[in-house]
Amino acid sequence: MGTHGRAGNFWGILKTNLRRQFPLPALAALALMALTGLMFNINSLEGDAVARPLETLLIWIGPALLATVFLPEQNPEIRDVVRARQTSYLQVCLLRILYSVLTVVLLILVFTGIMRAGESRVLPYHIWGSICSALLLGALGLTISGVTGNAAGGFMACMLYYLASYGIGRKLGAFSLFSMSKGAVQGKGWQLLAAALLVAAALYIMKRRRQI
Amino acid sequence: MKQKDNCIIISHVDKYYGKKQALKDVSLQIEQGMFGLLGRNGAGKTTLMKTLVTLHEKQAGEISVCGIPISHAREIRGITGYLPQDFSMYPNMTVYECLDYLGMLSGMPKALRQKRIALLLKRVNLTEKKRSRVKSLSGGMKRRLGIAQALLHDPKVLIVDEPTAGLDPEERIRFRNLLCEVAEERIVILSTHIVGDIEATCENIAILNEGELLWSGTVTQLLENAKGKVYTAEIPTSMLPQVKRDYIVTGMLRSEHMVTVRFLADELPGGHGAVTKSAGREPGEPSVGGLPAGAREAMPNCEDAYMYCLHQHGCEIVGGDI
Amino acid sequence: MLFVKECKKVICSLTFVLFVVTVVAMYISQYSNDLRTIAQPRPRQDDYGVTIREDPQLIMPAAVQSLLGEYLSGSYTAYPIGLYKNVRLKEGKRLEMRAVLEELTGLSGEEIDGYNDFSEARFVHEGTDEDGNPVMRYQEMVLPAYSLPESLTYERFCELMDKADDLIGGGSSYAVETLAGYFGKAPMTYEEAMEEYEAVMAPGQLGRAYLRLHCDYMGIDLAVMPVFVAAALWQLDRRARMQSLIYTRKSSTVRIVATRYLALVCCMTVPVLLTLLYTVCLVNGMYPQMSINWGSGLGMALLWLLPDILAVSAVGILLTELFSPLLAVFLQCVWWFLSLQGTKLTGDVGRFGLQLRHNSLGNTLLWQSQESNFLCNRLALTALALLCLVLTLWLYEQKRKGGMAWMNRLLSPVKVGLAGNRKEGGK
Repeated sequence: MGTHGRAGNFWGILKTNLRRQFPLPALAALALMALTGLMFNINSLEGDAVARPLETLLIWIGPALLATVFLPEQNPEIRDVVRARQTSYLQVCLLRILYSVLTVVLLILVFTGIMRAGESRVLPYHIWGSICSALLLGALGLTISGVTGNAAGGFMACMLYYLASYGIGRKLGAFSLFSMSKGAVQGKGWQLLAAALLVAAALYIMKRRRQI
Repeated sequence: MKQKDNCIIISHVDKYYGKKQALKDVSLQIEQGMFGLLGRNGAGKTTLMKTLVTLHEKQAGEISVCGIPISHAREIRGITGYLPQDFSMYPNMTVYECLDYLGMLSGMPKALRQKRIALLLKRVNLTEKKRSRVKSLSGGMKRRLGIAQALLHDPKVLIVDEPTAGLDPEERIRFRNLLCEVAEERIVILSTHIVGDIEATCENIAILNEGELLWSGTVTQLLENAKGKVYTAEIPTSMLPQVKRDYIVTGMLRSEHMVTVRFLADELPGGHGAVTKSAGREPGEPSVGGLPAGAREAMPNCEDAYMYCLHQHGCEIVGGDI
Repeated sequence: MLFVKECKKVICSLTFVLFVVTVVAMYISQYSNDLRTIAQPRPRQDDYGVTIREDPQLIMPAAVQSLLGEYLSGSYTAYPIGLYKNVRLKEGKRLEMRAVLEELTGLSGEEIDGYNDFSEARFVHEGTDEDGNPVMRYQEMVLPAYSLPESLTYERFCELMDKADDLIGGGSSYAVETLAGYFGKAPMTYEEAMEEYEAVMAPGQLGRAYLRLHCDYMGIDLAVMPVFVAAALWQLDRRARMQSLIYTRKSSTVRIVATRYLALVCCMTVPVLLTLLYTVCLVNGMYPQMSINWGSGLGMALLWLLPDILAVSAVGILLTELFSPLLAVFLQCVWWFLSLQGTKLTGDVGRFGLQLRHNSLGNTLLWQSQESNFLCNRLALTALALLCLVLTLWLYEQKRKGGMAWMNRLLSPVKVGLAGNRKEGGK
């Protein structure tokens, strides 16, 4: 198969996935974004107040987009049909993870852009921190839903982590989802690293178990 | 009254999905024994069966199952067993647990469940798999487990939807035999688009097409109907496309340069009135092009008879060029 | 027995295991930290805690200070429908609010706006520590010096507060009926502390106090977690493609649905009950000389927590039956989030709503004043649970008869997703 064919194939797969897998998670993410805008004051915020809408609600777009990556093939029979295709299912999953991550980044940029337009003093670390936390929460959901084959379980794990950050955030240190709201300006990079490790671990385990 | 007690009477049944009519004025009487429902994919077989097991509601007409009107859903569910075409069971439960659970939902007391499950597992040859999880079973085993669950509450009527699809030949024969045994004591309705299954098991059949009942009667009657309409001929390979275009070909056997074709015709080709599939041509008009020379009449089999029946009722026959 | 089988299905699910983990984690991380013995107040103690007084001398300055602070920061907190909302005023309303403040503080509009620097970030960067991490210092927001005009009566003050509340859109802390609750806080006197102490030591009250705090924390958990367990159980048939096998059984819809619902509720109640009993043991250990009457306390705890489980599970099964498990989880999470943001920590017992809060061991008298609200709230939640259950029964029966096919078609992309092409019944 020539490169041209491969490229064509790639775009085909991307298009199908964007049309069939992507819309619902994206819709959920947009709904969360709208809800954040409605619930919180996002104008004229300064300092740690900027982080509050971002960390309290907006980061849930991570799980909305990432924990749903394996959803279409949750049924093992469908999964086997997809796995048997020439393009490996792993590649399809990686593709979905990639565009989901990009969407998380994009949506957070858009949202913080809106906040800026509303004269909130959004600093680069707010954007970076929100992206890291959203991806960590999302990666956690992705890992649990992927390894257990249970999307509800994935979201539940996210909720557990969120509640833990809410309750014992101090003990979680750099991994607390609400660290910026509590005044920290650094340390979110660790969350991104953890997110990457979680995704890698999930894919590795699933590959070994022949789930992907 | 006695006759009514062990037969299913369907009269003038209509069923719509939105605007699409899935069953059009279907009337049938189904007696004890094996009954085959034949038809293409999408002919309305599954709809009819689902209506019989109360999974769908009809919009018009009457149905009674062993004397019970179909509107009495609870009673109907008590006397019917259903094996859907597309089914599975909780993958993490064991075979025994699954049957036990479904037995409970059928309202069976514990002692009876234990007895029936042991008996049925033996009958479908799954006793050794009693403690295995459902997800570890092969396709054929799952089908057998399916039939066991359908028979669990000893129903008077067993309805099986395309049970042999996807089974290997050995499993398929075993499954057919099992159904025949079961049918000795109850009504068994078998739907399939695989004519061979019907030929081997059923005495009475009905053919559905696009929601309409095309034909019903015994297998012998169906064969009788096609008698004198089936021919075989040996033709050069090069002529095959033309023959396929002009006749309904039901089978072929290739040798080096020649093909033995089996096809439908109203009378011996060479004369007039061959059964042709080209629309718009009058039945008496000779077909265009060369006719298969040396064609001989053959004894119709069930497949020929089914195809002839479809054709006879004006159904357009597609395919044959795979 | 069918019930036992259904319980087994619940208990063996991943979501239930995670549910138990959250219950235990909530208990250990939150409640056990707050457990302390309630001591009798002694005369001339430094601090007896806080009480609420309907005292204009107390309320007026505090409310004005708060309103001024919110005005300067440009954002107001309100709970219009019991749900949290952050309000920002448009220019016209802002000027009206400034006029209100002018009358309240005696300052001119320019003077008030001149203090705008005070809304600067309250965390100030103060160099770095030896590891290179930034050190942040919290800076108190110092409000401008002003004094309430002598001519301002409490009646006029209340009118102005009412106007401020209207400008914010209602549900703010300036609403006249909630003024005392927010701004009438004052240090307790010895006498008041004794009164509180006697109230909590009255027969049956001590156990209630500890269990109230227990329920306060557990309620946060139970207002969302059961939806996961319920949705997961409810989609099991669909996922295992077992629906038509079950639909065609003789058992009635009521038996199937009610047994499953009951199994869900019972299974989830057990770990909650165990934590309650654990609290009983812990507290008994803390008061070795006393025999605490736990009866009414445990009754109250069940009345508090059981409706949570009942309602959240029922909403979960209804939305799963109607749409999909994920949508059920999503919507319940949104409800939970909104109601959690919309509550005060202590003494927030609305007549309706998902979340009750009483994050305090004491404040017995405050709680007692809200007991009728508590009953009303929990009955409303139970009624909601019953309504959802009835709707689920109806829906299940419809699906069993092949109805609601339009719903399945509509939602098929949600349920099947990318690999689509599943054959539908239309054959």
